[in-house]
Amino acid sequence: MALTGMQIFKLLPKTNCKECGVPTCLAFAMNLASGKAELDSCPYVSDEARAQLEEAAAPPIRQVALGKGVRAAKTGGETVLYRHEKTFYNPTLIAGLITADTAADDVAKTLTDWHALQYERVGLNLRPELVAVKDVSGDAAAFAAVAKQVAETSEFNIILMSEDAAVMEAAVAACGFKRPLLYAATAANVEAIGKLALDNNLPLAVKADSIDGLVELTTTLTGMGLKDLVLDPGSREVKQGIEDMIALRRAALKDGNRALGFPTIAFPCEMAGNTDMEALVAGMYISKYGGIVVLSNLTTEALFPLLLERLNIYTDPQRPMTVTEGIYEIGTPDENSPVLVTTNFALTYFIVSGEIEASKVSSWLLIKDSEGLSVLTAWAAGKFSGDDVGLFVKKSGIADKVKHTELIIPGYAASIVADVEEELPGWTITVGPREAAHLPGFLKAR
Amino acid sequence: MAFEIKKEAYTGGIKTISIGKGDSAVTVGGETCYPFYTFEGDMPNKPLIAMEIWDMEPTDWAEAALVPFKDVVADPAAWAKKCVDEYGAEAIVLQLKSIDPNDRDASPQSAAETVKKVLDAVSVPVIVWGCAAPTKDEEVMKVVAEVCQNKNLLLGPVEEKNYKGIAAAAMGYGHSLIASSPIDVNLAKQINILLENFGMPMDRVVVDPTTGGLGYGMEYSYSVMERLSMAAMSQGDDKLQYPMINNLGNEVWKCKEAKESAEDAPLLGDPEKRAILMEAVGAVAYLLCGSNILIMRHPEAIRLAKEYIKAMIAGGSVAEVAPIEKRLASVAVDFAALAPPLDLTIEEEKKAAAPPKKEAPAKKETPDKPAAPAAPAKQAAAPAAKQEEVAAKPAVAEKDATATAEAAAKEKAEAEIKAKADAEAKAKADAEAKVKAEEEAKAKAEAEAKAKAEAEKQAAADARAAREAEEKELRAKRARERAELAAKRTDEPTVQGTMTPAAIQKTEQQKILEMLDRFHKRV
Repeated sequence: MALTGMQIFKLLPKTNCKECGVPTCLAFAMNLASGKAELDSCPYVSDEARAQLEEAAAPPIRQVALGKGVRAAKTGGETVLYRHEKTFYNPTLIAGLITADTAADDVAKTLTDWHALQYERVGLNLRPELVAVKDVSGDAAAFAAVAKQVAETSEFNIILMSEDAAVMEAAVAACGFKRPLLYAATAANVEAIGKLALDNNLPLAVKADSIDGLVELTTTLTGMGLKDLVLDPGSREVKQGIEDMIALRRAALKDGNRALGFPTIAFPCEMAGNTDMEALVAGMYISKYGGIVVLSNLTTEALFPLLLERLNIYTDPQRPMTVTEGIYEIGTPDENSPVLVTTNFALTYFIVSGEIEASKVSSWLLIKDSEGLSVLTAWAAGKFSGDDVGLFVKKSGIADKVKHTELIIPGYAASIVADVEEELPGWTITVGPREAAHLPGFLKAR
Repeated sequence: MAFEIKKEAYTGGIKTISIGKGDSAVTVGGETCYPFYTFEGDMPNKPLIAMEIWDMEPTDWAEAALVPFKDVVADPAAWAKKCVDEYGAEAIVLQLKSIDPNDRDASPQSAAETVKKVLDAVSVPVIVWGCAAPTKDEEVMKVVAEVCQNKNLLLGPVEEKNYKGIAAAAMGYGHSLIASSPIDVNLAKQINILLENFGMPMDRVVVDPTTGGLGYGMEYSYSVMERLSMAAMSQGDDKLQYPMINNLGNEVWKCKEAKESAEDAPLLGDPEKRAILMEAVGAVAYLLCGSNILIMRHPEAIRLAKEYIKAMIAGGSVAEVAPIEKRLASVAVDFAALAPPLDLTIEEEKKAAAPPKKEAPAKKETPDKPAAPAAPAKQAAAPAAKQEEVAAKPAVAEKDATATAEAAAKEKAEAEIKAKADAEAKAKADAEAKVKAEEEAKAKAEAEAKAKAEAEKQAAADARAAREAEEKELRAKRARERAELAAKRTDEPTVQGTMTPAAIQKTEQQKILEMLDRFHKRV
């Protein structure tokens, strides 16, 4: 299990070269122990020490890298059962399924359509990562051809689904350069598929019909020297599905069960009869411990809600989400539109901008950096003081965009009026409502 | 040994509460495990999905949400009846939107009349949700409670600011309450305690932790609800063991993405399906973090969520669940036209950590680096060049060791540049020499190797000595710095003391707390 700071310190060069960014090796060791630093920051650590440290620092659930290129991703590496305990690290990867008997033209069309499914939100690009290519007839050439097409003509990375080692081998030769996930090793093919994954250094999914079966298979495979495994406990009903996910996560984190210390894969595509119900099943796995979910098709109507849920669940609760300081246009504001100011806490921004939008009164919304604090907290902590707000409004350049000189401040910051007025001579400072919910009424009444 | 799931040791459970009267009463809560963790506890009552109706005709609903109710939205009673008769609603939530003082500001009497009409029209429990303006809600709920005596309505949201009035009315006229707090475990507990101390029978309270929409702060509600469940069940906190209610439909359907048409947002596809799935996916997340009563809007989203709940409680497949039944025309979107350009680049993998380490000796030449002497030994391919570097290093190191602390940094930098130049020159010369050496006799090579080994040994010893000296120096420097810092620290308080004229000097945190206390008028 995890080493203490002192144990790590003994393995470091002890030169205090400071190149890692902290003054001493001991401080660096402490940071490593608490997960605040990466071993890669130390340029001088020896290979032996590195191996030893990596072994000891290995997370209870292994982090597995999948794919290459712009959509390369990691899964696993989780350290907690509930996101508020720390955070969930690697968002559930989402895959769409293409069967090997699909004609090349149709594959091309599907890939182009799926490629369009990218959503910009709070400075992030939300999109799916994977395509699962499924062998349906044991036709190695057809399977390899589709895999090759996906690998070479799309950004997506690949899950190769076949239980026949010979078929799998053909596809590995065709798309191995993209580091596909092989699905799956079963009790019947574990030796052959395991060897294929080992020889090509590829991640391998393991499928059994129970957790007991998984333990047996992963033990065999780790014995062969495989490290990057992904688990499928075989459950295809939601009740058993969630129980298995909870069991696996608890076994890895609470019991330190190394045989189950791997990320998971789930198949809503095999559990529901249509993409609508699949979305609900996938939603469950995003909440509870699914590392990868495979959908039968990527439809924007199901994908978008799932990506939103994923964004929410995998947001780091230790750091408030913020939006960038600046001027935001709500609707189509002109030189006579009202000017409002608030803090840069993402939730504050979402709620305030949503309510302004609901009011249908086009407005200028100024977002002032308050280190991610909400209005009341920011005011109390002195991050939303009159001087600051005044100065910010002055510098923001909003004066060039509007003819009037009226600024609406949040009701919770009413006491800064005098200070803002002082900083902005000639401006009228109006105190808005305390709750964003009352903004539409307030704006409409003006 | 067969695998066994590690079970959670629970020390508490969620209380049960009944809403509605007589045959139509429904019970929620009663779990003795986390939501749907039925392998280690019981979930005797399945989560209830309540359908929301408004007491006035909605003006800004998305077409998709409106169309199932188009003929009844002007009449709350007919609307409620349709929900129950046609869509199988198990409970009705009447959202009193008309009473909002910033909108229509309807009178308490008119609101109460609407509630009465709805209550008479249906035979399922009715939940009455105010406008979240505390004073107005208080006025209205008092009248509603009186007009609908002993019907055991669920009234809310009840906040710290208006709990007394509403709780008194609920106690007097036989209703239940929704204790509301803004996404905070402690505030949730506080309002529960206030109600309990006020004398409210606590088997008639559900908690509203405040609901964030999907993509709009759901994560905050999600984690607060998980924490509430954990406090209630794992820590046995009896002030938090109440069922939870989430006003989900209202939150999901008011966001931009649920309303945008296919022309406004082609990438988001069919507006009807998209919004329904946003509501349904949000419902799954809220069910999994412990919602007992989920308020939803669209009949199809509700149907999917109910099927999901059924399978989660009783087991079984959801493969037979029908897809969304569309009421609006389908929308065709040409996604290919929306696709951004492809980026097929695959970055060449850096050989983890190896290059920086190899570069390090040549680039840095830092004398305080024990890894360096070891490195040349490993790098048998270019022994000569490396050896020169090693030789150069101790020289620098010694120089450093004798230098004073103040000048050390400067000298080191100079020495490094010089050593680097030297090393480069020598490396080049040696490489040539090596080519020559290879041509020479084997005996000579052996002798050279022996000399090399000795030199290496010497170099290692030197380096060690140099490092010790360096460390000693560094220790002395640190001690000095510590002393300085300590001196500085002892100085600081006196400086701070003169910053403000106040008699008591407060820390930053104390100031924040005071400001907040003052704001909330707690002092």
